[in-house]
Amino acid sequence: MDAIDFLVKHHRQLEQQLTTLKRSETVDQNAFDALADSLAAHITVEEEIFYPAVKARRTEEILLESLEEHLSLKRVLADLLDLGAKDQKFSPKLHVLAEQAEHHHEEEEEHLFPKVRKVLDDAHRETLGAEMSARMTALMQASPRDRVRSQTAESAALA
Amino acid sequence: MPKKTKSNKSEPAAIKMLKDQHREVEELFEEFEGAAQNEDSEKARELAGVICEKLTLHATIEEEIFYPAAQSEETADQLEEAAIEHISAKRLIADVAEATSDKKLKALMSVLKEQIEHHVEEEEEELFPKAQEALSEDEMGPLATHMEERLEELKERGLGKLDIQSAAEAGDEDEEDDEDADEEDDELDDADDEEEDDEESAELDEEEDEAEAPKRMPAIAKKTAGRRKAS
Repeated sequence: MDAIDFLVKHHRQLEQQLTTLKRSETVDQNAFDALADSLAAHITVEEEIFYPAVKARRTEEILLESLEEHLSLKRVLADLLDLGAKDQKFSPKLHVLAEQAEHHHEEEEEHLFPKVRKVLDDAHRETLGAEMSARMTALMQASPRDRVRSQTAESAALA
Repeated sequence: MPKKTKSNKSEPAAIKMLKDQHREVEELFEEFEGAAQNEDSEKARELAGVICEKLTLHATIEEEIFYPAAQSEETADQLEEAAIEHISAKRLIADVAEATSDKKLKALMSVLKEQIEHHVEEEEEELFPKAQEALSEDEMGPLATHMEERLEELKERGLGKLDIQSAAEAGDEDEEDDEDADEEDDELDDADDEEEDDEESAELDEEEDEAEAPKRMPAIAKKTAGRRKAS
């Protein structure tokens, strides 16, 4: 699958999970953990594979901003994992996570991905998509959310 | 820009004060972007410091005075969310204080600006109108004076002051490094100048941007490594 299509599709999945969680009267911890895993894996795949692969003069600035947005997301996500779904502050915190995630997706889709299409041709994006998909599957088997707490001190480097 | 709120009551001084501070910071963010665009590192860092100080002071008087006063069943959820957004912004401000390169500073300030814009919009469109409804004029009246006094007190104490001058020196060194960049990088710079009109330089960029080859941006990779060690 095309790397961009893969990420966009996953954005919609994450947003759907977030919307479902926000709407439920009492948040099920397992459902939140599933979202936390998906979001953590998404961020990891982008930071490990996608961002380094699309780094170029014209994308560098937005990639650096994206990495800071990832850090902000990871911090809110780590807070939520620490709080647990039963905490009173969980719901407003979840709202903030959803808003920051939606904003970040919008920026990537409107500003980064169009540039990526110019940087990488169809064949490259196809290969990259396959690599990302495989990595995502592997990550999802090992509770990727558990790694988030150790990643809140500074933004990932643009390798 | 958030819409003006419609209300029968005239706008209370406390809300006007907070909105004026929002406008002031928005203008400063614009100025920062101008300075960053012009690669005026010194000016950008000075403005970043001023913005972060103002945001810290603003957040503090809101948290200490306005939010508790505005607390009601109607506003509870929004106040919780607003306080959480303050935490997110404060973490970014702490990162700004340690930004070791101009590029990193620009990225952080951009994220901070967007988060503040969002937060301000929610306050002005949802929280403030509700607070205005919930509070009587007698309750709202003294808040502005109270906040102004506290603001002066906090300013005198130096709350929110950010010293990012030492980081500016690191930034300057980076600029000098750029001059040592090899020919390939000079070509990259040329291509970059055309970036906004991608069509013109598409071919050049295509070649230089070939993202499969990470060696294409050696200077930046080296610089990033250097900053890490230095910090």
